[in-house]
Amino acid sequence: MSAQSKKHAAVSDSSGLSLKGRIPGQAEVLGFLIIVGFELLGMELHRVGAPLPGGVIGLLLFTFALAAGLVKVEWVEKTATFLVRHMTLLFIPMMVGLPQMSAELRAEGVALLASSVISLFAVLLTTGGLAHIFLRDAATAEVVGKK
Amino acid sequence: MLILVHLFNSPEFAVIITLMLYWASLHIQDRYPWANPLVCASITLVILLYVLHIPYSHYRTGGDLFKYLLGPATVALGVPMYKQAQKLKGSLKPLFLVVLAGSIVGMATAGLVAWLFGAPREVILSAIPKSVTMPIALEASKELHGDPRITAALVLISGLLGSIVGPEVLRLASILHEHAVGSAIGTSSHALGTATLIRRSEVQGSVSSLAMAMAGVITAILCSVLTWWVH
Repeated sequence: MSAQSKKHAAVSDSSGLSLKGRIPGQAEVLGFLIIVGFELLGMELHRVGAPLPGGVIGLLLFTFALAAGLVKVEWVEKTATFLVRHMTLLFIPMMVGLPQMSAELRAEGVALLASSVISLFAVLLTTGGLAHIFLRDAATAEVVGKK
Repeated sequence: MLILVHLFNSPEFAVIITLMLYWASLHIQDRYPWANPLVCASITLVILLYVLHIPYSHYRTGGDLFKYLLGPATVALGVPMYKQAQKLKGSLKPLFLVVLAGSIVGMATAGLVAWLFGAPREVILSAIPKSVTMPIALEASKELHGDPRITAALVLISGLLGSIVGPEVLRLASILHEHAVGSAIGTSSHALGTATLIRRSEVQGSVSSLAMAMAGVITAILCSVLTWWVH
């Protein structure tokens, strides 16, 4: 593609619905709008009886929209990356709330701890083991930690 | 003094203090990579609330802002999921099957062990979705009529423990392939494990974030089926 036609494409793009954001920060706003829009759609579908949590329906529809090209990655990338990267921050208020329910947690403490530790090891080893067997041929990646 | 008490109990103070401690804990982690920012920030915050005599119910008014953002954060997982799926096109189907197997094992063992230890029904149901990312696990727990607070605690334990000992456990089991490590950590210890892997290797991190999103969706679907079957 010549430089001129590229420039032309860019101009015609921004002359329409300027979704790429000529105004600084516009992409982030659009991204937030689209993401919360899909969340709302998921919640509403859940409310009228779709048998999955609203957030998950939103996630699935959003991913399909990206795959189908209905939503362009560059519209949502900045906002999504920010939200996912700092998900840890969103957990902090919940962690702070844990001491509030220490009585309930202590009552079933042994069962909960055993359940989470044993299940963690089971998932790690089955997933890792199966992936080790089945993903090796499919993937081109190199092996880490060669001794 | 009264002004200070008023200040400490405002929602804005809760937001500011949470952001500040998160920001500081990111710096600490930069210097000491083993220091988990979630643990550092939360423990400091609990101590601070205690010292300043701020009741949790007051802190919550501001803290709920972050909780609200968990919903959009779930949907936002679609972007890494889509981008990593493009990158890993060739191995998408085996990866899906591996994550499916891992998710079923996770749900089954979590419920079964809790049952063996004599936990009441609500606690067993709360344990089932504990391997996946927080917002999905909470919604799945509500769906199953579990206690989302118990699920939250278990999700945190799985994530923290998985990010601390997970890579080491896999190494001891001589599971070293980058895709295998990524899928195992993503399926078992969600965002917290993935965050650890991203710092070790880009390939492991991206497989892990795809596996985490897949495991979340698979677990949500399986929990819905389970809900319909149990209730």
